[in-house]
Amino acid sequence: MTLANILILLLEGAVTTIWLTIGTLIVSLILGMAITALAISRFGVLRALAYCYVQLFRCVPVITMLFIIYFGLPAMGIRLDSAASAIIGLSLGGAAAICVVLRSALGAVPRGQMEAAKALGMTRWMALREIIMPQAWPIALAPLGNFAIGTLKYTSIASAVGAPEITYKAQLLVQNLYKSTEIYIMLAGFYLLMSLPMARGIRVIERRLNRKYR
Amino acid sequence: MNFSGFLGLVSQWQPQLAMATLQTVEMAGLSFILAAVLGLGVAFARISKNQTLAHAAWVFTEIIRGTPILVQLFVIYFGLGGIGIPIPAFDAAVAGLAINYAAYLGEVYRAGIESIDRGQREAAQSIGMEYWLTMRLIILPQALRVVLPPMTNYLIFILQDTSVASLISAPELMLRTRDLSSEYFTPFELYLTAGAIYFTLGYSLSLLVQLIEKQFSSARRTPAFILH
Repeated sequence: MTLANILILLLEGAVTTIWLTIGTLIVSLILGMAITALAISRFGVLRALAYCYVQLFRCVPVITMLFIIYFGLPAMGIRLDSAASAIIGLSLGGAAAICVVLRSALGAVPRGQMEAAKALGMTRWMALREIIMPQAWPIALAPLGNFAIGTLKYTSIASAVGAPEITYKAQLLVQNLYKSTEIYIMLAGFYLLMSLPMARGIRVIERRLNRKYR
Repeated sequence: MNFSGFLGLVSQWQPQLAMATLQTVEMAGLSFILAAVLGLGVAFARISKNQTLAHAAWVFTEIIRGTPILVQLFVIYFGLGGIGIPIPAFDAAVAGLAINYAAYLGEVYRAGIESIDRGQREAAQSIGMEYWLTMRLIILPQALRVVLPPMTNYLIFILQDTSVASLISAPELMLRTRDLSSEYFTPFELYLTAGAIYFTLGYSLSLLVQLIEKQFSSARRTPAFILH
């Protein structure tokens, strides 16, 4: 097997890694926003529900979630493939993390903003959408960016259930070629090639948003 | 399976799971202490006036934060094994976790040190204190207040990341659960039990974090409408 073949195999895996990352980000953003909506609700029961969700899923490791879904659920008659299990397993914890980020960003907007909006006759939802959220997004952006990079890295856990992403491909290569040192260092290089541009991009967006809102 | 049957199984697994939980706690504790010390080195290197040292620490931080902990464990365990330096899986896991979290804690420390007002250092210098004395007596005690809450948060993360060490077959809770699962053929019950153990450990830690945050936070801004 030539170096070119190895690189092509890893590149294929990298594409799957990126798809898993995008899928996880979308699902966890949607779920995370829904839980944040519960967390800032006026009803105590809903807030308690959100609190329980966040505490529960923040404390259980990704790999445990993934194994419950991939190895545990089939015993209950629910069978999901490795990629779907990975996206769901990562998103359940991801949504909890996103809820923490969004809630603290909303909480960082001074109280007077809400009071002023209400004094102008805005409804709670209108004030939230027109006044609070535009100020909260720039605050949430940096931690959301970190979350995205964290997600990219944690998709590597999906290799444990055989999802054909880059870490899994590297493991297959090591099994066939017995060159663990070289291949795992190459694998680390591939992750850097994905995560560093991502970090750079997030910093650029952050700077632009901060300029816009200053 | 009914609930009493489930409890019967848990009592059968109990000795092995308790043992494995201890190993998980040991792994997390050891790596966190090592990371806390190593991280201090990273932070001092990053704010050092020596450009080479500062740059090296920056590159280290970027590489560690840009790659998954799983891949770092593979490089340490299989990579070093591949060039003829075999180390036990548990030690490799502790080393990997410590190096990984040293990079994150280094950034936390650096931010903490840089958050202390310049005037503090200038005042210390003006009464004739030299660099390390200023650090030790003036800057670090104040930085500790800033650093402690995020640090304890990383303790929760490191506890979770010990589970990744099962993939290099280091003895801890996830690995033992997988072994039991292939012995008893009850993956759902076993992984759920493991999840409950991680939750209990993690939730107790997060209560501790809240306590520390309350202790260390000085008057905060009142939030707009949430956090009742």
